[in-house]
Amino acid sequence: MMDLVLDTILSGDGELSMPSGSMLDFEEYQRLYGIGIVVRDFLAVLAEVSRQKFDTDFASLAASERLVAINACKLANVRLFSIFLTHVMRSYYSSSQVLARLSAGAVPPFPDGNVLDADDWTILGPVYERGSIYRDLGRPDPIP
Amino acid sequence: MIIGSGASGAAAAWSLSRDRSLRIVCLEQGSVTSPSDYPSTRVDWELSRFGDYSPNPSVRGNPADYPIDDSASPISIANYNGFGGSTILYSAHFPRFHPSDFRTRTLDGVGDDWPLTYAELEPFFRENEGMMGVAGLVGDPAYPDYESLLPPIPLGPMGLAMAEAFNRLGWHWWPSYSAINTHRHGNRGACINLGPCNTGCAQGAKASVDVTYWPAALKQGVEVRTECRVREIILSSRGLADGVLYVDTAGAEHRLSARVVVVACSGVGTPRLLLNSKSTAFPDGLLNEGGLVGRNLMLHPLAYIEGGFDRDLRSSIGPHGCCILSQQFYETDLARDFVRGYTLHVLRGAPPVETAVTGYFMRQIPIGPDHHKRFAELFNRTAGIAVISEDLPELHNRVELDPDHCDSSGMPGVKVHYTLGENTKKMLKHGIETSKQVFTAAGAKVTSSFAPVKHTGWHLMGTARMGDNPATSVVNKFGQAHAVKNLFIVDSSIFVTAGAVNPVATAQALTLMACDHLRSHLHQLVASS
Repeated sequence: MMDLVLDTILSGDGELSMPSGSMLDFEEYQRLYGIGIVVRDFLAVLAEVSRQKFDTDFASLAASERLVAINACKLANVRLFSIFLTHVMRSYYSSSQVLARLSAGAVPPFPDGNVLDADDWTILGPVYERGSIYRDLGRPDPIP
Repeated sequence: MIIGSGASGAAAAWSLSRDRSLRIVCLEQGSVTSPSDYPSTRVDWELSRFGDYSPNPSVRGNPADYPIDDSASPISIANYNGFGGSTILYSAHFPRFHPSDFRTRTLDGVGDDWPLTYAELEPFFRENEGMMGVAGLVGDPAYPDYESLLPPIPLGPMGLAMAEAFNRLGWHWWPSYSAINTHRHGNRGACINLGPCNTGCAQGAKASVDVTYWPAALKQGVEVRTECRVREIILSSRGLADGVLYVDTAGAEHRLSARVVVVACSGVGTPRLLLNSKSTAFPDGLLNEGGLVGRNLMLHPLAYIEGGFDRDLRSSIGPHGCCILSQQFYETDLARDFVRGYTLHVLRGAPPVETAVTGYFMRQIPIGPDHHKRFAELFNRTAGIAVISEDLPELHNRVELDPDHCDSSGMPGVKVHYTLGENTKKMLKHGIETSKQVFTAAGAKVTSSFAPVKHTGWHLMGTARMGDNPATSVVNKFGQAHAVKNLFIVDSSIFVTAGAVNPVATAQALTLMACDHLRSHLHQLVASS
């Protein structure tokens, strides 16, 4: 059930080489962050919503219906939905497996860091040429 | 004795301990963090911002934190209680105040003039920048000349796009003044453009004071006692500061005597300690005979505007809070409907978790099959502008003790009362509009804009203001209390007005100036006490 939920929220994307949600260790995340009760309660709401909306359990739904069911949980319990979804996103986007596939730059522990190109500061020419803009209290106040 | 080991406490410790004849003890309520333990060394570093390394003490809930009830303020208080104070988590955006910031009453008829000038503080700005290591570029038309700085932080493709937009508009911009090493300085390495400065810099490139002032101060003999919470400053029968009462982690109370007491606990922590130090001479709290302690709180209300580009600009890479700034609208312009002004502070793009979570709740990134495509269209393609507005000192904006919520030692927490002034509201509105113009000129689409931003109360100023007149101020220009001559306050609570830039550079410069004065008058002061 949990794998189906994760894969519905974060489906894999072959074109972008992004893994689906269930490929990651959400169970370990739950343990680390102590959110077992949040997950249990969300799954209970989801089961209820699936029955009410589609008259069947979540696992029996078609992929598009699963997404509808999960989105419908927002109406059923917006606070629980928001907390659960936030944790799913946090778990996914703090995984080294995912970060390595994003253009996120160096991934901790950051042995080498990131290189940004050297700047050509002649771009400041127009700013410099317009002259001083602070109120020099030794000179007459430039403010009319 | 120095109370607090943050930006100002550290600068005071270093400055005073240059006189090796002094015995100096610093009491810090928090513990020592080690750069190797900072979350930025782990892949899940972003998650620590919602836990142990949250800037919000109520979320963080570390043993050293004290309760802050900010339900009566649109802006919640941000801080960090530990060795090095809030510099552990700050962005290290490090501009100075401007000359006009010290003369708002004379120039614009608002706030009050400071009892000192930019010119008086300038040598201390310079000394402080040398100690902290500040990157930037000299020649900025928005300031009197800087003498030297480390090379600027790289713009990156996003910074370049924003800089070009400011140029198109004919508006001022300049590379950020950043307390971040861009080459080796002060025995610390250079920044390698990771991004997560706000959970502690594991490289030590960011100038938090635990790696700048403190190593030198410790070498000069300062003793630091961490996890020691000062509850009260005590007075002698002659009405002078006699030392403090503090509580250790075991809950044992200690009394420590001192000839001179220097307070550096922040714009919220300092009034809290003063208000909790009641005596026959000061029944309403130490130095509060004029009712000014805790009053005139200023927080720099922010507006935030985010824009999205149609191309990958690697915007999340580089120090998050240091890129470029614009002070086009810093000084008063009578054509506007407000006085004073603001800084446009360009911020780099959000890291992955923040992009995904915020993107979902802002309806920019869905869940389901389109998620990754839409995430890729947003991540590394956004930039932010924070409008740092100058709020004016107003008596009703205040912190007071909250006896209903106490810290682990039983000392009352703090209740914050703060509302935005009309001038500030107009300024924020103006800042949002100008920021939108910048994004339009950059070819970006504005994706969100709002003010005030809730969780941004880092800049805590004004709650024990300085001045020449004891009836309208708590301390003189050297941070010396009018009413208790051997008691000094050196943090941003002594600010008279707020300026519209991050306050640390100015707070530390004031500290160095105060400590120069203290050192040169110490024997006279001690003799009289």
